[in-house]
Amino acid sequence: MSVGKSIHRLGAVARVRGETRFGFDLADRPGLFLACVRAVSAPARIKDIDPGPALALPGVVRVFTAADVPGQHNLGIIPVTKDQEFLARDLVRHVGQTVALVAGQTREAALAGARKVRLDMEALPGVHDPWEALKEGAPLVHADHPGGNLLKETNIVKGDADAALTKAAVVVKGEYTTSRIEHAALEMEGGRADYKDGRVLVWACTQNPHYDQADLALFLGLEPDKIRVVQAETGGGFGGKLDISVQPYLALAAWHLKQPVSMCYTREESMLATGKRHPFWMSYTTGADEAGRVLAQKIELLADTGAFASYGLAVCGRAAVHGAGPYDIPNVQVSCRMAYTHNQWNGAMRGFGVPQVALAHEGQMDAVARELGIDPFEVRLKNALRNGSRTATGQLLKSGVGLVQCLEKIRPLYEQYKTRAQSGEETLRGVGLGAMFYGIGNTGVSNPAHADLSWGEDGRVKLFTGAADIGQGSDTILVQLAASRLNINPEMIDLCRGDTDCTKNAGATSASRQTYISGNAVLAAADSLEALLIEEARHMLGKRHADLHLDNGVILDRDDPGSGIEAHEVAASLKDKGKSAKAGGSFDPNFSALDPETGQGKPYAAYAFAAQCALVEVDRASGMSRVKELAAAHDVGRAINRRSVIGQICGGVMMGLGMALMEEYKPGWTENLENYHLPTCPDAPRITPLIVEEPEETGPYGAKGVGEPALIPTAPAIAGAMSDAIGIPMRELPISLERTLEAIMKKEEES
Amino acid sequence: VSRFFKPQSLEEALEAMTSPGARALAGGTDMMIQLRELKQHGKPLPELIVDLSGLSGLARLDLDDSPPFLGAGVSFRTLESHATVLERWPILSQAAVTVGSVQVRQSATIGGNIANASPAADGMSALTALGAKALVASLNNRRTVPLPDLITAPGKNSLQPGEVILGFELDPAPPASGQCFVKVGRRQAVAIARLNVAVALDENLSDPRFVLGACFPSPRRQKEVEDLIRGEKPSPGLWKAAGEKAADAFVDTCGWRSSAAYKVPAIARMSALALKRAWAGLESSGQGGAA
Repeated sequence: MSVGKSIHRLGAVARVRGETRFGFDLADRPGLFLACVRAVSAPARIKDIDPGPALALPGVVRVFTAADVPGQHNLGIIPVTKDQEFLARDLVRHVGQTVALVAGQTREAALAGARKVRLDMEALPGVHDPWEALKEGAPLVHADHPGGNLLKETNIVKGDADAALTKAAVVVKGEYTTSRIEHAALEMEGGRADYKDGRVLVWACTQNPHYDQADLALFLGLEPDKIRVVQAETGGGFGGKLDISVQPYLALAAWHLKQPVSMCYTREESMLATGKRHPFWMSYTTGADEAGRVLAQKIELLADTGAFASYGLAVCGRAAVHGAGPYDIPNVQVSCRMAYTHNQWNGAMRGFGVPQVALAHEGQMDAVARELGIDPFEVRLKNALRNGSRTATGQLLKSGVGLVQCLEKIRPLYEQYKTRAQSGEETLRGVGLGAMFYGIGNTGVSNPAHADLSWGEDGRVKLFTGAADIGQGSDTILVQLAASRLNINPEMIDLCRGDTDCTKNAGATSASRQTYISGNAVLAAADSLEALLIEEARHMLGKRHADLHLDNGVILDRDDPGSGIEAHEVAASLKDKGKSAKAGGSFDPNFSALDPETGQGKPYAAYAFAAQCALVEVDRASGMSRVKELAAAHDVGRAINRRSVIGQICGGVMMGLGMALMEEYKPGWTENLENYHLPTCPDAPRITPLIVEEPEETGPYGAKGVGEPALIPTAPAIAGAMSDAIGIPMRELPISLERTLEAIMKKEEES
Repeated sequence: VSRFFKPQSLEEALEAMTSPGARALAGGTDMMIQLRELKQHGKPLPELIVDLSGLSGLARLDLDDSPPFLGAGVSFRTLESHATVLERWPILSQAAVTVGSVQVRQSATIGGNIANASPAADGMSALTALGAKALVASLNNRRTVPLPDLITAPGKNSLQPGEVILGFELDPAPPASGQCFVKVGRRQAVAIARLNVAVALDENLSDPRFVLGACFPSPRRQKEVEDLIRGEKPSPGLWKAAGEKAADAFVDTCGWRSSAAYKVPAIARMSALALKRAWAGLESSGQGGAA
């Protein structure tokens, strides 16, 4: 069986050889090129857009403005909060918002034209801080939004946190903040569009081709079947390619000009124009008994969605649901608010708010441990969710809870790191822990996936999936699952992926959901296909009740092992009858919506768990820090492809390391990779990935997901280690040179 | 549109450099970024780019000459591992290995690093501490220039049109064991120095060299610091006082900017650390302790 084997990543050879054409690369092909004219200050009212000077340049073909949008102006990934104008109408709400679009015969002509479009703008008062935005009288970002600048508030109430806090032996308070973070996928956004036979065709990098199709149809005022979106090979997303980027511009220009157009962002434009990780302000009050059992957790969260909603609702809900962490706490109260500001908009990024709250819930566990003089490992173990525990939303976790196993798996390394954590004359050392749980799939809403499988007369099987592989490896995982269920070699399977003309919606590649949800859909499709083939084989064999099964491309009779019929012959027989050997399958996780008042409910069908441990070293003189070791134990239910899981863990750890120590997007300064610091290979610690397989009953072969969990415990573990090294809790990310040295000096003064 | 020329000899190169608007290209690791930026903003590119990377004469390391000579075209990758450099001018190697990444160091040259005149250039601090002089040539002239005179402001040098840097004359005087280079960056590689310190001490502290980089508009030795420790008895207290003096010099020159809240204490502490390590190096090599 293919499941569990580290087969080579599909498409790996082409990538290594540099032959893969990513969405960004498609902009090299002949055709017109598009460039955006972007607002340089905001908020502002657009008084006039004069395309004249641009159109006077050689090679400039057309300048589009909002007036050229034939359909709906407001788009957005969540249906109830579509508020983003891809060509601003009257107002620009953030720096970098597109005001006009220039089509040129060459890239140079388009860019030169974009520089020449004359904008007459009137500056308006703005609000750039979410606390200010929620005050009475603050300038409204969307005057028509019923909540004013409050996009959303999610509350969770379990038990009575206030009452429990009064009875707690210790109460610890902590304030935490995280930074705005750029995804910095290797591939910048890019793609191509064409117009043929009344249809607009778009090829672009994306995490969600079917959503793109729906929003482009709205934008152009066309029926969805007049739009075909093909997911181009996508060089990383991390949530940054869930919202549409170049797609509406490509579609609009192709629709108007009836010829091929292409577009790609520079790194600077990619950083300026796309969403970021929401910065969070978090206030926690935690009460525990003398043994370290947490009795109550009271949480206030505020996040900045920027000028548009994007995935704000999802981040707000998920941060609230996960706010108390992977612990069995009887009394929990969470208030999570998401505010509009005139900042660059924030959207989905790997973890949807959970990496932010994890900093706080883990910092609180350390604080409880410190207050009581108990080892922070024991405090986590004592409070960890187990089979039979209830989450903060009251959901009973009957099985599949692997957190204790993850903790036990890192325990030997934790003990070893502690022996190496002695500080020296020039350096400080410390050890920290991070734990997490993560709900697989969207929060408290239906999020189905569909997949199809067909058996060809040539003996090859074809898998049709709308699930976007953006480098995380879903192509390989889905093929492995199909191969295992159909009892064939994965090499017999061809793939049609992410093309709205030949695949059905599998939902977004987000929320760590494709292995679990599309994986289950593929298994359902495989079962249907097998049933279809067996039914036909019974007819062909003339045995109406034969006990047939598929094995390596042959349909065998359990009662007559000598007989058999090739599956492709069965497929041919179906074709002769005008039928096809193709079957579909769907899966939608079993959930219940959260109660709007108390937040109680069953938001996810499955959860992943993880625990990580870090050893850091800090230079006393400068505050420079290095992560020396990082152990990462992840309960993935079942590793469909071990090497792929390890890749996700190591990549997630590096992303978490960047969040912990260096990444911070500062508008007007970090729109480049010189001033925006990503970790490099020499920043990588020795990473010890540890796989825990506590099967998820409803998962494909027991699998859950690992894409986002890989990142979530890392920043808390590193922050904990930095706190341990310095002797002062480090609660603001990133733990930069400045923050580190300030803390070191503060500690020196104290002692 | 700019022209690109790759000369086969120094004479050809110097001849080409006489053409108006000519710019010399060494490793290109800074210039590629600058050219891309010009293009993005629709600004004119240099009319002529003269690629010096093919001139093997510029990559010479004549370290036994008098004075020892380091070619401008020597890459940081060479500097970081060259046996004689490691043995006699270890701060050059220590500085080199902190530059960019392996890929950047493979291409980037010490001459380009200096000519680019970034205040944060790691090679600059090390060469300044070593009292290096640049050997500069044009078609009809050669001259030597001390680095503090060559670099006039961030991104500005005093090279005349037609001039290129051939290399650097090194000072063989400072004992190797008394040299120390330290750097602070925001990550372990591809990090622009927030600050760096290059120190060269001798056994009597009679000729201390102290350079603080990424803090001033142009390279300089900190005379105040050198005067403070010259001829003194080494001690942790002396290094601490010297560090504070370095921080004062920074504030006196640059004023109190928002970055100073970090930089001032970091300068004091890193300067003291570099001096302490340099002295410890002398001591452990048996050369220290005479003062």
